[in-house]
Amino acid sequence: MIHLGLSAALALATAYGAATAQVPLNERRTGYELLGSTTKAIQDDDMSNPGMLWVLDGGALW
Amino acid sequence: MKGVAARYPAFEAKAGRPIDLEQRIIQCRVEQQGAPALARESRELLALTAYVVRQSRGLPIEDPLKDERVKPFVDAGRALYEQRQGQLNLACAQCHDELWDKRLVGNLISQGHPTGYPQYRLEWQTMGSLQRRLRNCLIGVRAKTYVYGAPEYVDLALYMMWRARGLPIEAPAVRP
Repeated sequence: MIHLGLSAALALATAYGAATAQVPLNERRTGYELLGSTTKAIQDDDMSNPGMLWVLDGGALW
Repeated sequence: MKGVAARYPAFEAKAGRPIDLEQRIIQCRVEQQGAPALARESRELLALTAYVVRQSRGLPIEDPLKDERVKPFVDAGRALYEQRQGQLNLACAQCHDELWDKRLVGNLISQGHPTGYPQYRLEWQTMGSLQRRLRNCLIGVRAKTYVYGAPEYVDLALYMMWRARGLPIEAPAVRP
């Protein structure tokens, strides 16, 4: 895995040119759009989203 | 606190530079409440940050450049973002601007928008901040990391908020 990652990254570093093109505004996507449907469902449902435990703790601290 | 997370990092006159939401929370505790500072990545700080950010869910990220005082810091963040670094000699922009529809070690490369922080990562089995995620990427390219709270992370975050202006806040996000 690590070797694969390294060689991919090195190949990528070699292939890279000088100019950096930014992502056009209308082609921007958040990480959410790359998720599978299961992970999306977990994030969307407050009862399943583990991050909501921190939100609740935060509310108590607040 | 609705909308606050959509406009941080923001310029803080006393600091003479932008600070992130975590720093704002720490500052409020110390200065207004006389309470001890919370450590970066502590459960308490992540919890308070998550509580504040959650109130902005669905709201579009504001363009940081509406406040012209942050311009030099956005520029500094962009320079860091586009600078090759580490033993792998890679810039953030190479993957996240140019190769975001490709895979790296089996994972789809994201565009690196900071819409979901703090976020729960299955990889971490816990919640973490954007700074923690940036640290992960720096380690990934075998580059020097900064201490949590370092201005470099805030400048990077600011540039990333500019890139993501208009995209909706979705915290607390869940990611693999």
